[in-house]
Amino acid sequence: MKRRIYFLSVLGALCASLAVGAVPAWIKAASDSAQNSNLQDAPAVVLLDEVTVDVTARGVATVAHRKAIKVLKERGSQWAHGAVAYNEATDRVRTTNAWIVRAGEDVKSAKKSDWVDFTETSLLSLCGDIREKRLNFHSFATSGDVFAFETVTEGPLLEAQLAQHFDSELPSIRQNFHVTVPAGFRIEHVVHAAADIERPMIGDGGRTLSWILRDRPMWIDEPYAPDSMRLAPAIGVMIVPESAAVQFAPAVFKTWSDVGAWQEKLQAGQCDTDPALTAKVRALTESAPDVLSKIRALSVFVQELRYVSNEKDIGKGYGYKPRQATVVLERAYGDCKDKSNLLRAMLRELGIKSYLACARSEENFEVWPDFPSLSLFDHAIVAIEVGPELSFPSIVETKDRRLLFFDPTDPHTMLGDLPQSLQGTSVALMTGEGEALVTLPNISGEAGPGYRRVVSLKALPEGLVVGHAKISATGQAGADLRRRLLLVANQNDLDQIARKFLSDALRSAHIEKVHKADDPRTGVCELEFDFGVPNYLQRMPGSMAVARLDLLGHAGIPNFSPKTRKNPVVLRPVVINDEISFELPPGMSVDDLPGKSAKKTSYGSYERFCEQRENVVVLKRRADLVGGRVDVAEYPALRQFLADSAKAERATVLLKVSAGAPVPASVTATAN
Amino acid sequence: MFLHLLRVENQLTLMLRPACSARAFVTLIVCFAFVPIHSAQAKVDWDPIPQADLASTESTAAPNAESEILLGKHVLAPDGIDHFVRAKIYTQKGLEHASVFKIEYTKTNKIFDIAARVVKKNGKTIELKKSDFKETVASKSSSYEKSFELRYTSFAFPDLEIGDIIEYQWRQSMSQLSNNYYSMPAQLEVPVREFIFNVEGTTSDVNVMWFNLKDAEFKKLTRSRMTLRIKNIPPFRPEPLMPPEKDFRGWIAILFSHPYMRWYSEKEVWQEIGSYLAEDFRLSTKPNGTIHELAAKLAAGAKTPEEKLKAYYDFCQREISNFDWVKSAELIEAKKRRDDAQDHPSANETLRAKSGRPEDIDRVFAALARAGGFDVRVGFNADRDEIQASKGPRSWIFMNRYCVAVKVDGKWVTYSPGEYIVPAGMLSGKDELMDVFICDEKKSWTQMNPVAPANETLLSRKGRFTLDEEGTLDGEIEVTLTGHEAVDQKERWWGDAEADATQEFQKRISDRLPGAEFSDAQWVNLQSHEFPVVHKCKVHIPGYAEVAGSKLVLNANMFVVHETPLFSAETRSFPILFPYAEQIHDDIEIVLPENFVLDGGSAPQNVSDPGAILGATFRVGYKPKIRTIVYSRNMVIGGGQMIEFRAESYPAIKNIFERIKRSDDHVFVLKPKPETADAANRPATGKIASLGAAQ
Repeated sequence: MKRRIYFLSVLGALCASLAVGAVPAWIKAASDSAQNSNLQDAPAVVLLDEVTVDVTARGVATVAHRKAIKVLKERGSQWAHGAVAYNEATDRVRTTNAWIVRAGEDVKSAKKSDWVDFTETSLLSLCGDIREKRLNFHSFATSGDVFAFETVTEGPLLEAQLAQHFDSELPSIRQNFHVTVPAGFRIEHVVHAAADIERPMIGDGGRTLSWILRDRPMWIDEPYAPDSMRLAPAIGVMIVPESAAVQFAPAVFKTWSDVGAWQEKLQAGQCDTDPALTAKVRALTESAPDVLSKIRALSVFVQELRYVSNEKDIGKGYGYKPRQATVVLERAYGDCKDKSNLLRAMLRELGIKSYLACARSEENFEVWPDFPSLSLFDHAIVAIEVGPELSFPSIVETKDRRLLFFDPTDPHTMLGDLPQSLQGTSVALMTGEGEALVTLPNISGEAGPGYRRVVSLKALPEGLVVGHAKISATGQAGADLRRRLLLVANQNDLDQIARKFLSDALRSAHIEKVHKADDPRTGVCELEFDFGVPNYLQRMPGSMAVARLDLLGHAGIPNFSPKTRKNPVVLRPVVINDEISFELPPGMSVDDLPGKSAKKTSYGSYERFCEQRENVVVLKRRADLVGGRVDVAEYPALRQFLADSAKAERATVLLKVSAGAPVPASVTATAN
Repeated sequence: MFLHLLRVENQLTLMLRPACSARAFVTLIVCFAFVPIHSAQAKVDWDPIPQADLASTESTAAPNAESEILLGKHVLAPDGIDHFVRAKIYTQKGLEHASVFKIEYTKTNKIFDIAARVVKKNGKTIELKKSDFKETVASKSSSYEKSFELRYTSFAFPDLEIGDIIEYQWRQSMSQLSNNYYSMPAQLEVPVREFIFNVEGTTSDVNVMWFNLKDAEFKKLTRSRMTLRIKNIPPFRPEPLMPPEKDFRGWIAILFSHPYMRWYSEKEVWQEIGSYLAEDFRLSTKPNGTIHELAAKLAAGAKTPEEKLKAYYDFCQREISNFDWVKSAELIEAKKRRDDAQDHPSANETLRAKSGRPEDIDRVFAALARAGGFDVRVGFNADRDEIQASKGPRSWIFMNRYCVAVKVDGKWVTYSPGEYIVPAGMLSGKDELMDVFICDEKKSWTQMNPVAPANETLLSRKGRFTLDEEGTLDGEIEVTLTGHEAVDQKERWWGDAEADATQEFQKRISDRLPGAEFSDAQWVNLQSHEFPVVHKCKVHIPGYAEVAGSKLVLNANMFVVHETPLFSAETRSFPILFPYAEQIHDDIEIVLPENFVLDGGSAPQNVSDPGAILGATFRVGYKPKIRTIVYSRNMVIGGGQMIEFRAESYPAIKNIFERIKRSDDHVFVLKPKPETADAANRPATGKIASLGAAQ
């Protein structure tokens, strides 16, 4: 026996020594594929990115990941890193290998200890199961090298669905995805944003499906572009076990109703109550005169609870299971599902029905209607059943209900509005009665994010131009202002927030009497202040002076410099209404006013006009940016519209100075 | 040995520097943690809380504060350090920030006896149970050479409301090996009413140092028992363009030292360090025959000492591969060998290897200079991005930057060719204005590195444009950078695609001038050792001049129009430190549309301070025959090599920049050409008529 152990150990050592320096065949094969590719300025190229998933009859998946990257330029060595995520409670990481191959030779093989193991628990989480092993060979790789790694993990699936996104920042020559299921099982699939994914190859008597994606271009990072993952081709796989596969543990969802039913079961008993909860609801709502006020009182209370999450038992589905409402109330903290569940429990005390809805917290995320899966969601909100007497932009009428959607995790978005990230996305509603996906509204126009900015300006004899500004922000613009005001620690901070509403010409103005107001009923957040700046008007030689009336900043309207673009543009909606009035100094009259300017396009519109009312020049401007996605083909037109809109912000008034009229000290005089 | 000591401590400083985050409370606890926990929970005896603190609704020291540390007490004992924090929550923001507390620690520096509780306004308390503390392995590696495990214990206070007080405490083991150095901030984003640091016995000698803390009461009872108490520490709010935080934020440092250090006075320690480093430097920079030959060859054409040194400098910088900047298959191997070596290589060895770390390259320069007949020394200074004030008794702990001091014409001048892209005759911005400790075997000394004069850092912007009747500006621009401006650009883009540099350059303009279009962009010397860096491109800016009725309103300087002023806050607490002294020169010519003439016109006002330290001068002319406005703007920041200003100077400095902004906003009005020539609008004589300055 001892001799056998000795023999095995010698054999093992021999195999290990053979492994060092030997380049695996898959890397060699992948390296050859780079020869004919046109890669232009890419710093590195993905030669192969292959994911193989083998699912057992019990629903345990072995996931093997192989990736080979060729460093083309020195800066490309920063991509010489690998990672594998796993659940420490349920998964095993069986293999972690990595190599640097130089001129066909293995010059560095990773030791186990080169992989550093990190928690993936978020900053506001007490603890969690998800970890990641990471390896970084950046400092060892150089131009011409091939960096490759492979990992194998094994662990139970939570659901019978797999989602594979072929996203890559680098250009890629080949990306493969293979799924194998036990005999008797079937594989159904859906494909998204993938004109170039080849039809799946079916192997092993239908047990294996393989997809291949070839020659993907480099992802160009551009402002206002959707996430690379959203544009990347993706495949959703649904594993259909044979009817006799009773051992198959993962949840099997055929419809969105199945998803809802599974979650209902998981959450049974969590929306509980006790005397403390009842008393709290009474205390919060007893002075509220009507149903809406009561709902608002409860929603504000839950919003103000601290956000604390617990990311344990994710493998059992507890990422979708809230803690009991009574516990959350007692602890006075929770995560999105905890807060939503508590609000439901509190509303129920008032006899108001509400439902949990699963959502995705990423902006513009597209939920696939034909792929019922939990993996698409990472957030929870509340749908409150309301009557026809209430009217809010965040209300959605379904077949059977009128639902007011509300996100109690966002402390700045008021009841009746929705965080920008949720607008236009689909949520999975859990009514327990078969209702499935509901699309949330895009809130734009007058009900959406917007600013009303009113400024009056006057030149004083003692040398100052003084003004008064009132900024009223609604919808998500109001939420943004509210968020900024919450961060204020002193008067200087508050002045700086006020100052940032002014254009560059007034940015260093003296600010005083800043007053803020916030109305939870309307969601309007306001800032009012006085300002003063010396020598604002420019006196020209002869009898002329110049006054700039572009006193306000861009307020979130973007502009684009490049003439061409690779990716679509995602715009946030905003409506801006400005009114600027300038009281003419004594002895001055208008010589020339800015002309009328207006444009209307499918992306939005703007309008500006200027008029004189007795001794006051009034400039009115309205800009309306329609949110949404603008395709690349429309980019030049969008760019032109935004540039024209920005030009319309500028407004200079030419003034005549009467002969012998006293010139205010605030006007810069000229020498000749 | 002292060199070793310097290195170890600088590494420790880096390791223990607290991560700053907006999440004030999460930060707070990490800041107080030297590293962190534990097991069995003992019964805790909490001190009673004064009734006034329970009832208070705002901080008396900072009335708008979101929360306040009422007491932070830290007791260093032979077996570790005890931490205690009592804080009061005043606002919703304070409540939000008090969500999850994480105490970080390593596998070897355990924490024990952690406890925490909430004290409600009515005095009722809620103590956290053992199960409320969650332990997580943040990161770990099992590598034999660099095995590590970073952990944290996290917890959240239950039923916490505005007005409540929180208390938390823990004990942590701590390595007290001599030469270990730890730092911790005492001044936080929130006010601290009382901060106490007590030493109640240690296994090594300990030095407690405090920085930027007014009215600190320090009592040294014995060599191993001392107490430091500071009251009413205001919140710390960083400001733009301020000197390094460590020079103004309150913090303390604890340095463990060996008993033999008692033999030396504070002054003697400096000399001991200097002697040791000077000797090591002398031995490792002794030139061999090869270096003598090379020095002679390099200096062959040089006429002055400065030219000789420049030749040595350029050779070292360009011919010896710098591990921090150059990478190849061979260099990766060479770097590994260097990293694995016990001692640093001599200059001769580095020259033979033709590669090295920045300090190795500096030593080759020193050896060449020695071979060339120069007297050389090694110098150390702190990093100006980290800390400026480095003259204190034990400030050698901050000195992590290496240089070579060379005696030129009786003066000691510092060089560092290990700075890969800093040209000869200049120092990195990290080294300018810093006290350099120059090591000598007999008598070391300190001198200050000068700031490069403003005319050595030029940002020259040239534009040649035509304007059409609709206000569209078309033309070419050329931006030339020298000195620090050029070094900054090279550092930023070295090894990256030039297209990225172009994109950022264009974005900076189009953010101010939406709709601007660029073409034919090219860079010169962006990724080489040569100077100046030049960027050229064509621009097309529709609607640049604004149409006002029948007239056009034109700002002549497209390089500054709509730029946000540098200073906007009305008050300031900390000094202003510009990164370097520089001159900005704008040279612009604009051909006006054929059917327009200048309607009057004046030059912007010149702005200057009496010492010509900050300011801008403008010249505007008009060439009527070719309808061309000729505009120039010369701005200086840091004239007389003055780049640092006291906070009291802020109103004056802000005023200068505001006036420059007003001059930058100066416009010209163009009116349609009358049917007959309007002589009144034309200057009487001269090819270029200067426009008078506005007052």
